[in-house]
Amino acid sequence: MTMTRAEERRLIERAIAGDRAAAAEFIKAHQASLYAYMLRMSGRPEIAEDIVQDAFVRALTNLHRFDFKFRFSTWLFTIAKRLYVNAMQKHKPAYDSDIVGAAQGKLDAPELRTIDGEVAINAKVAIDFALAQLSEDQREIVVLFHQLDWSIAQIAEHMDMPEGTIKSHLHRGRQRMKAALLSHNQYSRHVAEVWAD
Amino acid sequence: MNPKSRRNKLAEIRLVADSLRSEPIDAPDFTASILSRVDAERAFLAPSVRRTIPWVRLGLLGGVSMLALSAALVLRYAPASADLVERPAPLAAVVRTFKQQADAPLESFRQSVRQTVEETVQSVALAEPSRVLSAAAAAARLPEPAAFVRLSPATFHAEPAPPTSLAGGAGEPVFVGLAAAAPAAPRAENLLLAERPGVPALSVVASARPLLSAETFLGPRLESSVVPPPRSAAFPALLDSGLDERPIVK
Repeated sequence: MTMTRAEERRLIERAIAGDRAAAAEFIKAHQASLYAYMLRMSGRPEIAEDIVQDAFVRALTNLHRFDFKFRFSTWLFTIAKRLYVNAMQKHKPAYDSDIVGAAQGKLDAPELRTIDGEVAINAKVAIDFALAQLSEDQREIVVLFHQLDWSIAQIAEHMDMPEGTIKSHLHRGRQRMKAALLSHNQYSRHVAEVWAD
Repeated sequence: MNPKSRRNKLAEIRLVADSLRSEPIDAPDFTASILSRVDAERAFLAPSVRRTIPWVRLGLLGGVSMLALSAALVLRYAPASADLVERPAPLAAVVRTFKQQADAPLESFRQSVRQTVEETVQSVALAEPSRVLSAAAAAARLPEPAAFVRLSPATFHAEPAPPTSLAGGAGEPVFVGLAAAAPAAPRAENLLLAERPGVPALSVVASARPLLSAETFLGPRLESSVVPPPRSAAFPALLDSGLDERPIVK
């Protein structure tokens, strides 16, 4: 769900005025992407859930401090990233497909023990493995760009880096991720298919 | 970049994008829990309450404006009432207070002298005015320091003295309105005044401070009085420069 800046501003003003519906709209608009970002970054669903909720609570209780020259999503993700950095000082990221799958309640389901289910789990394992090969910055940039469709400019603003540096990180991250995916047995067939196209 | 490397790059991008998007992430719905936490920290308001907020703000703004206006008016038209703390006394006020305190004992001294002078003048002048004048003339020539005391607004007037009483009869009798007395104990023979009701007053403004010696101050006056002045001439007050100099009219 995307909204224009004018819509976003009106919504923020309503939320500042104490409108519960406006706050709910913000949560619905951003929770999925923020959760995906945090899950990709941390590799731990329970940490991602905590951070997402904490980030929203902080953002919504401090909306009156929001600077309208930024996008709300940028501000929210920045808050979340700070919380993530704090959380990571306590926990190390764990790119374990079992954890990710368990959090989504799929791994223990008997019906998933089918061929499709096995393929899906293999893909998750491969992706998590590949993401784990990236540096923190590369992982964040790759996730924001390829998964959340952020622009280079937006990522640069969020990470407080020049756009050229973002592009460089993105390029290196992709190369490293490709190598990781190729090296992963369960995923190599899909990679070969992509290359064959 | 040649076609092959471009193709490789595109394939690389597609691979990463596909891999990340191939696995949809189902985020739990945090809306309820987040809203309850936010509500606990910063309560949401009902729509009716939110509608009243602008009016409340407007009212507060108006109240503050009225208060400021009132304060400005008070400061403009009654600044003293706006003083919440006592202002430090200006130097002039300190001097005035000090002077008043210093004058207090002096005033009592003045009163006593004035009373004594009046009583003495009345008693002596009524009895023998010419003798008083003669005695005063003599006293005025004394070189001893004298204090000129303030006389009360009571009217004193000297009777015309016979020519022989002043300057050995060479001059015309003149009025001499002065008092020469020791501050502590004015003596009758030092007074040159006699009372005569119905004659315009010679108001001698009080001054209890020692000025000049009787000789310095009175001598020339008395000598000049030997030369007959016009009867209607203004008789200079002898004590202070700011004294009443109304003409003595017989």
